[in-house]
Amino acid sequence: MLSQITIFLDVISPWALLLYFFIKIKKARRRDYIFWFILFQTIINTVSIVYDQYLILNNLYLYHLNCAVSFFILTIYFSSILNFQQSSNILYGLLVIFGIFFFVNIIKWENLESFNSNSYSVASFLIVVYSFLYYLENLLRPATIDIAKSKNFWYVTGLFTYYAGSFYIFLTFKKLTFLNIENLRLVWLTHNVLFLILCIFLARGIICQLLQEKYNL
Amino acid sequence: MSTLTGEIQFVIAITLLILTFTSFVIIFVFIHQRHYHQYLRNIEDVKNKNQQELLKVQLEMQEQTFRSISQEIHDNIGQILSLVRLHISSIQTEENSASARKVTASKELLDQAIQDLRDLSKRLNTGFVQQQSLAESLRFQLNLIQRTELYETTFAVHGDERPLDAEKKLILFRIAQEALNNIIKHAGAKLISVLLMYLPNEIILSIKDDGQGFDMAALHNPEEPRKGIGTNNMHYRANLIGAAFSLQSKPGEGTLAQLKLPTE
Repeated sequence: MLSQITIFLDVISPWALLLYFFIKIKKARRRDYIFWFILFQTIINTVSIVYDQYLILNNLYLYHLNCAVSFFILTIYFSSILNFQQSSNILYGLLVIFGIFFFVNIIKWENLESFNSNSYSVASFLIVVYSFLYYLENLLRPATIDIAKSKNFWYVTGLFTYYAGSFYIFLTFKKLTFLNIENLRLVWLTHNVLFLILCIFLARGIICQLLQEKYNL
Repeated sequence: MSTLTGEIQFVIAITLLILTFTSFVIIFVFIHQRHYHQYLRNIEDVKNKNQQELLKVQLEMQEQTFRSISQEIHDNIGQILSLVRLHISSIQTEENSASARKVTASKELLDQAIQDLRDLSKRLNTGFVQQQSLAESLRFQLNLIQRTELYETTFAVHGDERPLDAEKKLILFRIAQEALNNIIKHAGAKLISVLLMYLPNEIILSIKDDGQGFDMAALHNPEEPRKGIGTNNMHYRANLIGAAFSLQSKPGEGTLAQLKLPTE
């Protein structure tokens, strides 16, 4: 039973979060990049599970799309919250480089019918680096409000936990699929649990946003 | 088979190791922030304590200065004026002559000056204030203002008057004095009303005038730092005895100064 639920965790979690977001956050959704990230994850994971479980079709090209679009949204998000000099230019530069690498990877090493370990692991690595930059900024220039009341702290912590935790899974997943392992699913279920943890942290960040708006922090 | 299962075990083990590391990083950032905020709070506490100590010393020096001046007025100037009056009284003049009228006028002016000096001496004399109740000190102060005939004053006491700690009484009186001086200097008022309320848990002193009022925002204008110093001093003095001082005013609508002192 638990393993059945875990299979659908990467769909249930973002749906629950998205509904909570729609109900609670009424204004300025377009300015919240995390909202677009959650929305995209919900759609792509739902379509992916439908392809895999019900249509029994190859859904791996969706993971390519997921990787590229998620990285794009999160790069813009991090460039909006990091205040280091030139950080925006550097992040957008990395986005362009990643884009080039992404397409070269599809053409040369990992086509749309295989899992894109390379681009996922590079994207994960970069997002972990962005998260470290955010933490470093908070250590060097601490904010005047308690960090636990900052929505960005919870968003970044969620992203950091998910992408750091999933890095090795992404790095080795393609190789493991070629080895035709019986209980390979266990690895992806571990990823789904990490995704649930991400959604929990994002939900905590949404609560902070509500409190910030209420108390004008 | 066991080697392949080992691969999966290895992946999961590395993932858990990375998660442990990320937890340490997050906890470290969290704890660092908490320590930083605690440090800021400690700095703020020390700063407030220092300011309070400084203010106490300033007030003590001020009271000592007032005592000295009061003593000088009483011992020296008052004595001299009394002697002058004595000398003038001893001048022999013809009845209804111009000289007699001048002597009488001089004696009246001297009486006025002696009385004014006595009043000033009492106002400055800490001991005089502390010997009376707060209501009596305020009544005395308002009587002095009323005697100028430029203002109408009212004074009311509600509730049962109870004795106050000498230091608190003195500070409340000095704040009231400053508020009344501000009305005389700036308000252009005709009526000054003072209300002293003794409630079960607090004492409220309200001073209201019907003057021109002022824009509250101007007190905190950074381009005019000297404005607002007086009201800041009243706030600081009030804080010293655990009281809260507030000011409400609008242009054309007069001013209300209120002091609330919690009592046990």
